[in-house]
Amino acid sequence: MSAGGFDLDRRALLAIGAAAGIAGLPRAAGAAVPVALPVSGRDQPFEDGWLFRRGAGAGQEAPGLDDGDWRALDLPHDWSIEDIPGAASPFDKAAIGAAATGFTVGGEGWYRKHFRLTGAAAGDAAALVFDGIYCESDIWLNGQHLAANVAGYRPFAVDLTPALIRDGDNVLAIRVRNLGRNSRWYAGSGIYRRVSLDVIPAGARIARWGVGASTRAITGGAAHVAVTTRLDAADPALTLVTRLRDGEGRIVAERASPAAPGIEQELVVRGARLWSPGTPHLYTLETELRRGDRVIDRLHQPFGIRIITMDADRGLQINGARTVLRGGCIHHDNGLLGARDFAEATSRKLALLKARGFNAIRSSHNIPSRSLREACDRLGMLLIAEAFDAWTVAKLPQDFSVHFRDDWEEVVEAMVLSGRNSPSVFLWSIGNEIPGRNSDEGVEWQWKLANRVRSLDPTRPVTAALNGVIGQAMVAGPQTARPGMAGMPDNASTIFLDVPGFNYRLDAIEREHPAHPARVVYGSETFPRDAWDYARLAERLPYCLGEFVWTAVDYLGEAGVGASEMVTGDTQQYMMPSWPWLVSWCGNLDLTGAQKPPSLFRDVAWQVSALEVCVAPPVPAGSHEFSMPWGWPEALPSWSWPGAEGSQVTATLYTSGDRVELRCNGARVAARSLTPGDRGRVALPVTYQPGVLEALAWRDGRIIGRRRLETVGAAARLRLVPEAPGAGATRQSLAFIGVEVLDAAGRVLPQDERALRLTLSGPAELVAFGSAAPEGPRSFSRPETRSFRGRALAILRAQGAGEAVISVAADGLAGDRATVRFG
Amino acid sequence: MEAPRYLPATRFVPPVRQPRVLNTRDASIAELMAIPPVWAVVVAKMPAMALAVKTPMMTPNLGNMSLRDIAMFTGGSGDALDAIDAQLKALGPVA
Repeated sequence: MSAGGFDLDRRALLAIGAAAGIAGLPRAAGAAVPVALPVSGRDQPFEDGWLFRRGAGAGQEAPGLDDGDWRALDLPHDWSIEDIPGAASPFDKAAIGAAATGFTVGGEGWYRKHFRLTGAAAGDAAALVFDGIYCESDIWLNGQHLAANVAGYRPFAVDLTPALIRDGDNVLAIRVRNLGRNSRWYAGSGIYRRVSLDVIPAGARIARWGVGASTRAITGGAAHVAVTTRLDAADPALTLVTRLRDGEGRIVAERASPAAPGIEQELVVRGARLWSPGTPHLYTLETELRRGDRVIDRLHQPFGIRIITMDADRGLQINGARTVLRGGCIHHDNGLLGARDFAEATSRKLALLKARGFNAIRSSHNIPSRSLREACDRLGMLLIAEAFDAWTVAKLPQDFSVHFRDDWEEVVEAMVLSGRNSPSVFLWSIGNEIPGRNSDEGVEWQWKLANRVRSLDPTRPVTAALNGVIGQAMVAGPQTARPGMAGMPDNASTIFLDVPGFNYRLDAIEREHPAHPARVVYGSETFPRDAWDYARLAERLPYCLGEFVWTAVDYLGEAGVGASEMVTGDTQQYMMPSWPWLVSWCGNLDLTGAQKPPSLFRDVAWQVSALEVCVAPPVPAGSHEFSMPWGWPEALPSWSWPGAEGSQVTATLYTSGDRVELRCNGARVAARSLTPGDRGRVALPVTYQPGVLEALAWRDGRIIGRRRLETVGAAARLRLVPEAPGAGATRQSLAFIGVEVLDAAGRVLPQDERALRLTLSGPAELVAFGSAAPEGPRSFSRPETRSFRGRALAILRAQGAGEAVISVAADGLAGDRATVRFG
Repeated sequence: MEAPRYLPATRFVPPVRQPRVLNTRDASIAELMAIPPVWAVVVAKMPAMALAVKTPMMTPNLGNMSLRDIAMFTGGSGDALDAIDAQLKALGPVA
């Protein structure tokens, strides 16, 4: 236990608590008609027109199998978020993953896809690029086994050419298994990420992830971009052309070189527009392999020109300007959508976080999806890409440690090579809270992993997220050490890391600095309650780069890790929430993207807001509230507490001011001055009287914030709130529509829970409907749900162009109707 | 403005561990267990640890957790931890 908080990592905490015995709608997307595809080019969408069957089975890869009764769907797909066949929700109290996976169910599922590639040239090769399949997959084409993958977050390519039928129908079959206890959080099951098709030359071509570009220097108004390109079967008669285009498509730099297996080029961009979280300017990096005037292979990638440095004297600098990391850890699920990696859902999530002042994301604890990387590039979010949650010592019996010794290098290569051109990626993480990392074997693995990353991409530093103790002091020799660190004492956990990440080690940052004055660190996982402390620490100490809260957004699984409950008796009692908890409940934002009280506090800590106020209801006699270390006392920005009239409630004000005051129905009921020791928050008892509670904050005698909470009336009507007037018309296009329960004056009822029913017509399907409620069980696939805190969220998926009409109803209330234009 | 480079090393030679005085905050439980006289000090002051470290869910965390990290779960008091620290200090630096 530390003065600033609780030093254990959450998984270890749960495990140790237990060890110590402490109580604690699918639409038919198409039939099995072969789909004719474009004949050449890279990165062709391959998500539409699949067939799916849930359950184990033998021989389902056979080309002649009658799959007429299989379900038609379009990717991305996650069967673990669908209702369990024969049940009314995806959740099962007996699920093998238990609270870790939010009581969801894995198992086995099969996918098939029929397609034709009749126009491809005789010499062309075809490859599928999967951005991720969870968890283990086997891939057949026309009955021939082509590939197997055991790393559920690893992008990988499968060469279809050996089994491709060029003049007829092809049958692709994929078996996916999510078995055993393999994940400490909700992972989902199936082909949950993007799939694309490359039709490329069979001979000389650009190697898979063979282009690496980085900004080498910015001098005299010009940016110098180094580009290395690997070619397969390089033919010296060919020419490699590399160019950068700006946002308007204009060529701003170009170089041509004779083809060779490895080519190094430099592009010079004068007057470059630099990438940063505040100004995420992007260029397009274009790579062409040409024979004379004919382009035989071409690749486009987003690219940003930026230089990021980190040192103990100046902190983290982007293009010479200091930037404090205002970060959040996220798991990969998209809330009500499960693990389905819709790019628009990912972008929405990041946009919501940007609005709250976040400038960085940690993809914990896995390789980020391409959608996430590209959204970070586009929207301006720094990104930590993370490879592993375990190395050789298991956290769970069937986790990736089972495969680590055989497959670690493939995972590292896929992460680094696929992501190295994204300007948002600024740290490569080789692991999270790795068991055994301080042993001799663990230290050697740290070196192998870090060194492999550096050999693939020497432009970014290596990190890892470290909990607990960071190990014995050690000294490495000149052949082994990081540059400049030979003979210098370091710790077992950090010796080969450029930038150690500290999980819940707030107190250690300043304490350990004198012994390691050149070390820069950041909070790779932090408790929500410590937002104020990290913000002030990072302002004061340049070697503290900032923090990543656990977590930015609620996620499925690790159920109740942020729970709070009223308990009686022993104040040391420890609680481990379980069924029917389904959601982590530790996020700043909830499962639908709405702000929770810790987000309001963070708004103040990060100076997004000067004042926020939340109110907690009366505490029953003999009880006290217990909050998990990642949790937050249950309170709401609400002045509606029916039944509490005349009772004492607690209003907690979050503020950057030095004096606050509360007024109830116009009368001053409490006031207080704040000192730095209050760390931006003050709790004031106040007697609840319906009406208006007003909070005010001053700094240096000047009012800096006002907040007003009103007692709401009875529920009167519903309101639909489309987040945008329209969306695209592809099967990847989504529309998000909020549902609100209002009183007669149009105010949201902050504690309302009631049954809601949706109806939908037009070219869209309902892909998710639900609320942020952390407990269940409940379905996300049906047109009925219950409001939570007066809100719910519907997500529509386009089925083509046109206008969709959505209506919502609830017993006894006036309903609402809205239209969304697709296309 | 030049971009930094993070170049790989040439080969792995095991780093040399430095002697240090063990304590309940910075040393992992695994480190304490590895030295019998040290572990005897711990078990004498916190008898529950003898069994706690053998539980399957505790085992993977022994290398990353200090006694102080887990004291609240195993009933260790601050006094016991302070007493252990005093005795470990008396043992002097260990390799």
